[in-house]
Amino acid sequence: MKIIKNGILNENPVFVLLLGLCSTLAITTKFENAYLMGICVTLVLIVSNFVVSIIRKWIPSSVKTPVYILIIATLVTIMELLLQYYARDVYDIFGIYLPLIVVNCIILGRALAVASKKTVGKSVLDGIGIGFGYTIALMVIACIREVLGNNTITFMDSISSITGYRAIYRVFPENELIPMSFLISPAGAFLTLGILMAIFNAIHKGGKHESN
Amino acid sequence: MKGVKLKQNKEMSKGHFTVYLKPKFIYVPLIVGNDTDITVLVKKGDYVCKGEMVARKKGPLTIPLHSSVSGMVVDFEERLYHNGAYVKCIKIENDFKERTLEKNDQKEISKYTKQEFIEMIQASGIVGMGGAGFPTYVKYQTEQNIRTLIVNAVECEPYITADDTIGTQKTEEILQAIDAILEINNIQRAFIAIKKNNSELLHAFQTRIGTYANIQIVEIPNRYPMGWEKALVEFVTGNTYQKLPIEIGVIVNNISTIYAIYQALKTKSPLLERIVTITGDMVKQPTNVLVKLGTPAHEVIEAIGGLKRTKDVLCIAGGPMMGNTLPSDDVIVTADMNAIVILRKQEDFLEQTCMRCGKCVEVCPAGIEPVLIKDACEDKEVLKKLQVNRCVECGLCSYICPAKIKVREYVKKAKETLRKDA
Amino acid sequence: MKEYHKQIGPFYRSQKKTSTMMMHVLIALFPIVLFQFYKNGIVPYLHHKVGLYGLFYPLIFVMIPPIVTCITEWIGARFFLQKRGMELKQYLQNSYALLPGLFLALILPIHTPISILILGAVVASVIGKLVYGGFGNNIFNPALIGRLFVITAYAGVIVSHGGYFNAYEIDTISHATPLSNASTIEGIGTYQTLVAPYGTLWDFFTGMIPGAVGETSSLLCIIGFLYLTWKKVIKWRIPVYYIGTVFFMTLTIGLINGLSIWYPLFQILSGGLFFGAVFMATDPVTSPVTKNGQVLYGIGLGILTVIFRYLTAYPEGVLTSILTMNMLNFMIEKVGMKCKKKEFRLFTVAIVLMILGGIIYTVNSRYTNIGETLDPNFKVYEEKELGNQVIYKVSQKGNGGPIVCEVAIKDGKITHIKVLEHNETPSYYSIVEKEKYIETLIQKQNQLTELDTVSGATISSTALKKLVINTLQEYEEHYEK
Repeated sequence: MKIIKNGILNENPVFVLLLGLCSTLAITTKFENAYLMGICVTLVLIVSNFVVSIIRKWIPSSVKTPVYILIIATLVTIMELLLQYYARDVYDIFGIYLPLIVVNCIILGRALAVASKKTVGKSVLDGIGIGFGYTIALMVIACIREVLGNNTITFMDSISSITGYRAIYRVFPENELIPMSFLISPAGAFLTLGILMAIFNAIHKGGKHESN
Repeated sequence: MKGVKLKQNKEMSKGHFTVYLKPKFIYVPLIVGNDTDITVLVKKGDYVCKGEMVARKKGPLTIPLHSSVSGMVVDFEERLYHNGAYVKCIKIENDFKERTLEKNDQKEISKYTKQEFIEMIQASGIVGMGGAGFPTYVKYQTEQNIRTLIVNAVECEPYITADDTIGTQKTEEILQAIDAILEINNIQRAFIAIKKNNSELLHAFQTRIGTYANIQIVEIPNRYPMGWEKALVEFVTGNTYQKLPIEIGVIVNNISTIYAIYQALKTKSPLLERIVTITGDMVKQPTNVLVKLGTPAHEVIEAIGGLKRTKDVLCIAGGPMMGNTLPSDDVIVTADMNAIVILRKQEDFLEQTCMRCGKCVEVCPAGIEPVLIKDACEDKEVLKKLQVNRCVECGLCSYICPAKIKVREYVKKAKETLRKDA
Repeated sequence: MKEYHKQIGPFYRSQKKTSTMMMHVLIALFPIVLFQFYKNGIVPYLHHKVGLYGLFYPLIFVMIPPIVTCITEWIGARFFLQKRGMELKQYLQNSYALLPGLFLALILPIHTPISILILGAVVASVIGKLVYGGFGNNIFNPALIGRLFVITAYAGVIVSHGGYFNAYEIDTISHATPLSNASTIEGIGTYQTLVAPYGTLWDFFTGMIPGAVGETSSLLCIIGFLYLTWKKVIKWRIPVYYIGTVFFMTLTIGLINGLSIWYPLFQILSGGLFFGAVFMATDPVTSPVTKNGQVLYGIGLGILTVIFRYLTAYPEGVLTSILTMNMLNFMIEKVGMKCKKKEFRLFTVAIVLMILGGIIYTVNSRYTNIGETLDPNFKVYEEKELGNQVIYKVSQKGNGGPIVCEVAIKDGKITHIKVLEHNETPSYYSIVEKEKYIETLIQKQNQLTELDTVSGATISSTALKKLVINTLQEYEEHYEK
């Protein structure tokens, strides 16, 4: 349990470790995209941590990185093919960022730092924690960007082919202030990420400092 | 034009003059500049004459310390020196007999040779009396060709009028001394630098200078710090130098030092007394006092009438810009202390954020950037590039800062950092 | 018992405080605020374009952002910078809290909605100042950060409310702001096309031209500059070198193109250059401290402004050049620190002359070729011959993108024009349609140069007019040789 909390708070991959930022900034234009990406990354992370942790003792350290990349690439390709078949809309939305999960620093980083050193159970829990942290971070950023930048919030749009529902809601009444279209652009992504990072670190570490 | 026009506040003590030449005890501080490595030549119980050498600074720059009265050496005590520290002093009890060592043998003052001149000045213990305290003979002891002598009667610090007093009182003697120095050292010309608005001193010199062909008066604008050596040389000659004015053939001497040279040459007596300005808003009757070196200052203050208030006052040795506060007023008068200013305790301004207005950079006479030095206080590399050692601690940066930051203190700290490094 | 205190000298302190300096800047801005009240409130009221609310609206507009910045600064200082009590009070008095708000109000268009104005003031205070650690530590000019945010995020909203033009100007002066107008003109322009639509150069000087709320009046800015230099509050070298550089560069550009001295005067008097140079570039915290640094800063600003005005899409260039030089400030400090006095002057002059030469050459080669080659904003997609008609599919760049039209020419005359797609702002384009401008273009196709554009929809109508001219020219070149 502590490990999971660690992944969400102390070592949050987006706000603290600053890993995997390129897909963070690009995907978070809609709330739905964010949680879908989060789920994909979490799944890949858990399975890759699991596999790496099992075979960690039999891999010589000189070939560690290529082997891990091989594992991760395989997993991502499996996921890609599954998505292509079952959820074609989601596949289209993700575009290039789905294959980019392979080189997402979070997965490789955790494989090298945690899964290759700890037991299976701990690695899987770490995967869950980090994955949740990533997903939550992405959801928060996307929430802000979409609500303030586009005045909508999309719960289910692209995956409507699976679930059969469509859930896009308008949040604020017609207003001059609120569709801040620049938040949808990459500049707005950086701005939101920066502000959230500052707030997160201020609250989280600030709390730590006071207790010291 | 560099510098700032400050409020002068000189009227309260200007023109007033008195003497206090009968102290009960005098103290000879065993310190020269910041160096306390002094050889003492007397012991308790010895009888000394007025003008006798009682101690000597060790090392290549020999500077003698004399007793300004005749009497018995009674003790060695720790007394307050004008830098704020307590130093060991020789305590001599005045027998009021003014007995001197040998007969004063008068010689025509311009008939000295250069070597005799330098020896005479060294033996008299003459140091820069404008506050710097640099031994005067060293300035003349040079192989280079001295072309110009500048007599510094500017006295740019507010409140102080000691140089002005000696200039108006002893004008003729000073002119004779300058003439003699020019003759002895083969210097071509001399300038007397006087402030533009100091009409009494200007008049005193202008009426008498007609007979001296090589001496001219230069009027200096009323800005602080025009009395600083470098600024003065630049203004008078138009040239500048790196470290010492002798590089361009110039020597600068304070006007009180010139009078001390006159006395040394004329009567062969060492430097034993000087004029100190005791002034300030809290002094009842501000005036200039001729005192013997070694007199405790509080006696003098009492003798001229005392203070208006004795609570919440500041006692400053030197002027309000470059002087420092003292914990009490029984400081010992020495050759390099030219004033005591007693002011009401000042409002302590809270330091605000630096707004990088650049005023300190504009106003600095040394041409350095105090605000950048403040920012780079710990970084030695950057400090070296900023040429911190050009600072003369004139205090204009702290004066002008609108955010009330004590910029000069940061520069001093930076100098300290660099000094520790070397 | 004598009580002597210990204090650190010097014991003379100048009477000027940071708050006095802020007060002087406010005094210098006061005539500008009054002038903008006259221009945006009284003049439209006297011409019966607005009611009493409209009369006082400019004053309200100018007063809101300073209040907002003060409140934000107070909150920020209290909670984020952890200041309390006396320290807090002193900090606020000495932190120039009012000025970013006032500047922001003066450089935004008059029709900015109030909610966006407040948000802009908050952003200016938070992102421009507090995030860096409060007053004295910020790198960028906070008012410019606020304006950049507002313009980037809400440009469309502001334009749909009316943009830069107050109620009086919208009806009488129908073109865009002087520099936007200049950027849509082919070639370098002439007195008739650049200055005459707005009056004379004297109008530019006093400030009765369209622009942001307070930045048009160069005369009042000069008076403010003289006042502030007399009181020794601002770094006077920066505006002098800035405006001087822009003047000389545009003078050279103008002379090469055969335009006399009115051209550099036009350039320095428009685009809020004087206001930016005197009040924004001299912000003490974000400009260099050393004298040579200030000279370099001013010259750099001048060069950047000219580059931005001529070679990029920004019509004004002042905002971006000030922000860029703010970024380079730390480097300039280093240079100013190292180089003192004489060897610096020669070095700078040489480098500056080289850069100036390069830029002027580039600018000119871009402008003088325009007469010969086609308008780069004009594109021909298709050319079909249908019997004795030639059907062109062409596009001309309008306000929001290319306007694609189908033009049919028969025997050298245009018979019909059909607009296929456009991205113009609907409110503007509807004016063009209402005026039946396209029919007018077809009717008067022989006297196109004398034809006026539609007031209230200048850019769209100018684009249509140019489209017709360019299509005719294309036709002439291909079919009548």
